Amino acid sequence: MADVLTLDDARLTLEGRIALDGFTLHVAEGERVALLGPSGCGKTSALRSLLGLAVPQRGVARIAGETVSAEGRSLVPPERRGLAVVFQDLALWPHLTVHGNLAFGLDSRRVARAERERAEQARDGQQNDQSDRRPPGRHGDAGGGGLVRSGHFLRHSATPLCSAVTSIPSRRTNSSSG
Amino acid sequence: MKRALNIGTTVGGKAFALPLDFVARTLGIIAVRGAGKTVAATVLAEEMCEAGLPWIAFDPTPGGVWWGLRVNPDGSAGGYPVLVIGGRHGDLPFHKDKAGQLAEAVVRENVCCVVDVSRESKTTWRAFVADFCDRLMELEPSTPRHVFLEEAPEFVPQKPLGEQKRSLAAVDRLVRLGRNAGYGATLISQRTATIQKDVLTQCETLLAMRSVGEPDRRAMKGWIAECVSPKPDDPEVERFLGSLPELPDGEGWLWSPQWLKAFERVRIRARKTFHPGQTRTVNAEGRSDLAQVELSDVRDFVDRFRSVLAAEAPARARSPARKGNKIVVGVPVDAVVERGTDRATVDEFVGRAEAAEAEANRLRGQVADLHRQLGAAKATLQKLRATLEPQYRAMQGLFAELDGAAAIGFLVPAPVLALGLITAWNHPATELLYGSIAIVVLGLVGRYAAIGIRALAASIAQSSPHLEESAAAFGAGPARRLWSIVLPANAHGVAAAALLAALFALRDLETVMLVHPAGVEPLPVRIVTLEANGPAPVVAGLALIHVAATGAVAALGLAFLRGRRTWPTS
Repeated sequence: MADVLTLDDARLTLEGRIALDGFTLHVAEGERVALLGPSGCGKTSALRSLLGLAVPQRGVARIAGETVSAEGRSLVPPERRGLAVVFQDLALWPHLTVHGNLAFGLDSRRVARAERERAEQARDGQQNDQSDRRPPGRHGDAGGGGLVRSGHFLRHSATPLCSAVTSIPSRRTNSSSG
Repeated sequence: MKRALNIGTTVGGKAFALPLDFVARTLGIIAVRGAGKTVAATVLAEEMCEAGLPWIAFDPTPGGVWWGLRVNPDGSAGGYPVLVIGGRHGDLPFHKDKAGQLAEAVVRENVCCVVDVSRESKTTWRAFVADFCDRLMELEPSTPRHVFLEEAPEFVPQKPLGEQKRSLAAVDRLVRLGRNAGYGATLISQRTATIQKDVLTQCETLLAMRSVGEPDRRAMKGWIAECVSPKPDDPEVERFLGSLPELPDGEGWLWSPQWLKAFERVRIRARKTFHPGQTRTVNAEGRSDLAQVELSDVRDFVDRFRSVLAAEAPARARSPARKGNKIVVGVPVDAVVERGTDRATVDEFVGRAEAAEAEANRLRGQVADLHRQLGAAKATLQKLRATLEPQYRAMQGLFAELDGAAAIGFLVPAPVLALGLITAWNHPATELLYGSIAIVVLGLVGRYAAIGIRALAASIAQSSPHLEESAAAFGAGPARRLWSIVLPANAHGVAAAALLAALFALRDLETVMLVHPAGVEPLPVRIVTLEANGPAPVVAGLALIHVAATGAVAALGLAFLRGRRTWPTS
């Protein structure tokens, strides 16, 4: 099966520290991959290199066969790579409601109305009455489970990458994690 | 049934063979004249005939050489059932406009075929080969086929000019992508240096026979560097290059680093068929008889090919005529007339079909041109991007420097800043701005913007960078990220920065006093000017207003920041 995500012989240094060196990753279509390793071993750096948030000084990154970065040059900016990410800190936008968080990715990618309605229905089914609330925090009022589901809902618009498996307890969320 | 192509022996006397899947592989044969490159290619062709593997060879050598495959070495009838098109010994005449039909016929019939273009101009060779290769790549053969190209630099020159660019593109595509479609190719050349380097490096195997020119050996080194990647001082490379000028006729190095993983000095066997080149030196009289050779072995091919070549036209050109009276371009008009169709009607449809074919050819040419232009534009853009990237990075550094420079506005003494503003804006062209209160605003922005920017930067730095990064990953461009994520998510920081800058501006006297326009007296200036000669109650009142205004702005700002308990909805 064809690889959809490829990182070949990547070397990435961050502030003089080697984050990746000779790292190679091939992910086939439909495949689920988990990167395991101690803190600081480069798991997130590998994902950031694929996302375009970091550009390896050496090596090639490909998405669906298209070269997106090569030898220290970013050829496709992050917003045009068609990936999605759920960061370790979830990084949900605190000024937007749960619904706003969901709609943002769909807006950015100009997702068709039918697809949006499908997401809306899914939201109605899974988020219940929390869709107009905000993520928890200084100003938020949504529950943790709803928040995580919001993060994972973003997968509707792209290939998801999770920078860490969440520890927020939710049977439903964990069972749907990729 | 043969299981391999036995092309000769190693210099040690051991039999050397290529696997049958050579038919869909690529080979470059390089040798000076007379060293045996055509013999090597025709030996491969002989072996493929015996193995039942079809091929087609383009033979532009003077007088033609490849037709001899159909004749025994002594000049008698025999050899292999090879169809010859064009040249003195052709079974069928060569038509320069029938390249597409020939490709279709070759794919339809499992036949070995020589196209003798020795009597045609070089322009005709190139156009024909380009058309043939283009059409071939549009077709899918049921079994693989091999294409031999003699005088390859004529089709794929290192420095293409004019129509050579088209043949270069077509042959390059065949060599690069042919294997996927079931086509192999052998490029035969006297010179390594004159053949397109990019095409030669696509050849999986190289048969390097005697070669004496230094440029050619340099080019050979290029192939090695590209395809083999040995160390520069690899003794094997030195042995290879050093032996090239001394190789006897019929001997060469066969180097297949990826496909066969072989590097062998081989001695090509003698041909089993007639070699016209040898005959000229040995028995010149025999040649006139050879043209009369009995063609019984290939008569069936000839008949079928003749009908295919005569009746088949490209589908795109054929369709207009088909719609009307089921007349196919290429069928003799007389034959159609005999069947009862009015001659004028036939002529009209033939004319329309030919016009359509010409139009289709013109459009094909335009499409090919567009493809080339698009390719060139893409390459240019990539080069431009690569060129500009260092400048872009330098600009990023410059912006960082400018960010630092913004602080200068706050640090330099007010008279210096005012002097700069006056020098920059006190011109007739900018009188509208310089003569209004806008110059005061500009001066205050220049002086206190750094404070607001620094405060905002500090606020943003405290928030998670993942907020913006996840927005980028979800498809938001820089402007949308700034407007929809960074600023709203840091609304407190934005408000605090604005408040801080506003308070500094409200308490400013020196900048306002130095740059305010004639006829406009801002409150701080009014207080100061009245302080010397004006009534004390008025001065005190104005000062109170100033303090109250500043205090009101501060209070409102703080209230806004404290009272802002919820974020705006999306």
